[in-house]
Amino acid sequence: MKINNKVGVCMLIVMLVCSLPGFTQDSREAAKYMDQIGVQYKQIQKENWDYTRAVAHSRSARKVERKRTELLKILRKAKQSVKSLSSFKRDYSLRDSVVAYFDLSFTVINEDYEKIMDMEAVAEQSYDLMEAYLLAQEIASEKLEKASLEMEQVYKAFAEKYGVNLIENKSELDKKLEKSSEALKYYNQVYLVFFKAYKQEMYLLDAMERTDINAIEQNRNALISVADEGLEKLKTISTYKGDNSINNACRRMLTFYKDEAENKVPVLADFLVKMDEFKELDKLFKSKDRMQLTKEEVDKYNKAVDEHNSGITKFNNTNNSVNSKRETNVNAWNTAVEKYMTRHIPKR
Amino acid sequence: MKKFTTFTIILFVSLSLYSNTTFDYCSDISNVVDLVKKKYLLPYDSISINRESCFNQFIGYIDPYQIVFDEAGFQEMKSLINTTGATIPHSFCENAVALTRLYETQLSQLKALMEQNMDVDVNFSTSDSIFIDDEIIHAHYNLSRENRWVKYLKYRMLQELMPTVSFYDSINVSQQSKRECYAEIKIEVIKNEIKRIDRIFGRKGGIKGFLYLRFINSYLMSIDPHTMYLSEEMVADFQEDLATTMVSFGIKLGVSSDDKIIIKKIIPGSYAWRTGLLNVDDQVVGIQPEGDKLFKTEYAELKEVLEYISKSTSDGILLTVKNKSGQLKNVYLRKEQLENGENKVESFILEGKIKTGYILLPAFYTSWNEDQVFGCAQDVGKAIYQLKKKGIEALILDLRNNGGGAVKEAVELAGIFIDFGTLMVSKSRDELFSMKDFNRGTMYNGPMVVMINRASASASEMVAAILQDYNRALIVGDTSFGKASGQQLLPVNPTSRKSNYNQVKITSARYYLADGDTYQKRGVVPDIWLPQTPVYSDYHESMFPNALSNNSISKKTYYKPLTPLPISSLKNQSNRRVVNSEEFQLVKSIDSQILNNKYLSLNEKEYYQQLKELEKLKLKLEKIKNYQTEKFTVEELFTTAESINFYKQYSDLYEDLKKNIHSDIYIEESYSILEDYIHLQK
Repeated sequence: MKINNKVGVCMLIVMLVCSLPGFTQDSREAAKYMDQIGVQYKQIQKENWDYTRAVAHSRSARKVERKRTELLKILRKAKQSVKSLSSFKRDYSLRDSVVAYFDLSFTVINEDYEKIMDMEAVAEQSYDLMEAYLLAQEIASEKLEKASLEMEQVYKAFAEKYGVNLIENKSELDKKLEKSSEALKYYNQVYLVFFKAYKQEMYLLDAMERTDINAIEQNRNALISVADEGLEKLKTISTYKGDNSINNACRRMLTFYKDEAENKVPVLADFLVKMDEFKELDKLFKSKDRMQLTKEEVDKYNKAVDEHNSGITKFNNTNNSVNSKRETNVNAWNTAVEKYMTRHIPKR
Repeated sequence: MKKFTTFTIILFVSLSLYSNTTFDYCSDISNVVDLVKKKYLLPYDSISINRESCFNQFIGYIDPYQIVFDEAGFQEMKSLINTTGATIPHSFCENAVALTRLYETQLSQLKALMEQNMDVDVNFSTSDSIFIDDEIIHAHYNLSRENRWVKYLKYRMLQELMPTVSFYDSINVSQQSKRECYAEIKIEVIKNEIKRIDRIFGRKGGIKGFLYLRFINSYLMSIDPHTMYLSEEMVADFQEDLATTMVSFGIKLGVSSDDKIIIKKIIPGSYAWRTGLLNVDDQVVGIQPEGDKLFKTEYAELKEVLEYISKSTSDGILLTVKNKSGQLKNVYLRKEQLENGENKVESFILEGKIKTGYILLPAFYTSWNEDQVFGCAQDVGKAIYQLKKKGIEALILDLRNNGGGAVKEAVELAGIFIDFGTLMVSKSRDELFSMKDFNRGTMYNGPMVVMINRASASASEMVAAILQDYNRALIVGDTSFGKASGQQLLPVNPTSRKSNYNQVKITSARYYLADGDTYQKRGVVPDIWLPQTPVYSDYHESMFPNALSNNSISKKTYYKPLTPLPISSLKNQSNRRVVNSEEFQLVKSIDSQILNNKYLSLNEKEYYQQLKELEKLKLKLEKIKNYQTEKFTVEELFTTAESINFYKQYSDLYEDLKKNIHSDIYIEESYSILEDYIHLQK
């Protein structure tokens, strides 16, 4: 069963603003200087939009990857262009701040996480690569958001210092990106809740496959905890512009996981343990001389066979019902995500 | 995807004979040194090989009773090993011929001395004594060999004359019968000693092979107490042959470095395993099949012992074993098919004020099956699953006398009680590696005690240390052995075309807790200490002069211990009970001097007195064993197969096990501690 995985997007929140020429020579030159940076920014925005749309709507991983590579190319080029600018009257503050920000954006989108965080600490807290990746991305997004705010402050301080009036004149593209960025941020919050439980169930199913009773019991209890935590977390995530669809779909999924772990898996695990015991009994029984068996022993064996057979039926029924409910819920989640993306992220 | 990591499996090992006549000792030594250079935990440059301790170890192996060498021979041996130009271990390669010739000559001389002095006058009325430590007799080589031999003969004769006070009293009725008995025993002892020498001469690999194996091990022992050389015969003989002949009793026998018949392995789930009375490395001193006579194994070859057992048609056997502290035990074993080895872990319910699960795990076994990697952790898990169904409120995990085993199993077992995080950090020469809990979540969250003692070593200490570190379980008993290192088994010459290799078991990892500390050399200190009989008082990792030190490391780990347990309050309550317990006070009164006396008198009257005192102590211990707790009754946790009564033949065994649990003052105290803990929680 495939799930929608759109968490790969990285938001590039560059709050660059357009400038109007000021009254003094200094301010006019400063505005021109800022414009040179603005040109680079616009190119980045365009590529970023393409990449965002691909992440939200494309079913082709190759296409998303191609868009990411293109964005990286532009980022590198933009960084070089800004870096080659001279200072503004020996003031390097704006140039250096933008270069540092482009640099960080490049690192984050290129997923060179070890450059900006302690990957050993990330690995220590994670159980698998996907979990480490998501945790790393969460940290990276936070860093990028913080850096974006810092750069905005430098930008505003620069404008003020040289008497440049700033007017927020957002282009259509800016607006679309901002909107998409918000929608994706909301989605990512819900997706992380979903993913934790989804992954935990994977471990549980893997343990069942191996009939590893320790792993079954531990992962079963862990799934209950993760589902409970997730349900609490969902209560704190309000609707996105009145749209509660993915929150609802996620809640239904978690409710299913909780019920599976609390009520269905114990039935299955009981059978697995009893099956082991039955195999032992069967081997013993068959190794005995038929003539030496007492009626009581035969009766007890037959009773155990009956119990084993009815156990098989119960196991299969429970298993089928769980599988069918899971499929329904996962499909509902996938559909909800598709619709959410269509509603909140323009295709063009 | 789920991240699995490999752990070093700790194997059971021992010394064996070496038998290849075309064997190239020099290149084998070079290979061993190369292996140590590449794989040993510490860089080779940092190892200082103590020539003196290497030589002493070697002499201990080849002359454990200090009767083989005369003074000149001893000095010559020392100079051949120590004072030649070549460094240890290469000195063996240079002087192999001279060493072999010297040892052969000295052995022949000793044999002649024995043969020519069958009627030697042995006087038990003079004041004389002998010093024995860890089965090795310490005498001075400057005393003449004749005198040392007579001392040794007296010691052996006294052992035969006085196995028990009552036996001695029974032969001591008339001077005539006593004289006859003494003369008989003297001849028997001397003949057996001659037989022992002949056995060394008759070895497949000859004297050179015999010396080489002991020399290379002395060299490895002087580097690290757990690094060891194994000849290919050991693997072949002691694993294959024994598997077919001994498997039905549930033990595998082997030969120790000083030629004693020992228990090499206890098959999990077997009758021997379930008695809980045997331990790996226990020396087998006697075997008596039901309805047959006692066979003393002290001078016997392994093959003779195996033949004696396989000849017997009896299904029962009485095994007399001597544990590391020298205590003798009689253990009755039954022959049975081992197919039903599912329940390798014994679990019971202690039914009293609180319903408590009790799980006994004597060793950390693992499965070698590639498809399924289920070992003891999985069996403990199944037991807990069943115990939870019965509604237990608390759990006791008994790891006393558990000498360890597979590290992977220890990590999995500890993990079932811990939600998530780094359990241990392993450190090889080049890297630090976090050993995380395999699965998120826990299997059992309730109150829990882990029982340990001095003989809880390696993997069992690891479980206790982790659960203590996470504040997950109360650790009760005595400080554990203190081995926090792992060994790898590696072929000495991997390019050899043979299917079997000589191998080196080499220490390649150390283990630390998530906070960077280790129990190496120190042992896991219990939260609540209980008085112990001084049986294992000298038995500890620190008894090895070259044991790895206790240091610490710094590594980022994800580690969140639970809220600390109310240890001081529980300790106070436990102490009050112990002070008022007649049995624990009896344990405290046992004099370790008498129990662990290393100076044995060779004066008949004094020896008799020493033995009397020892027997008095044993009586005290017996009294403790007969204790009956009123706190709980012991109920089996039967599986369907067991409840259907196919295990009729086990009913006696289960009754014995239940009786042992019911009379064990340490289990009773652990139960009381859990009672207090549950009360405090309310």
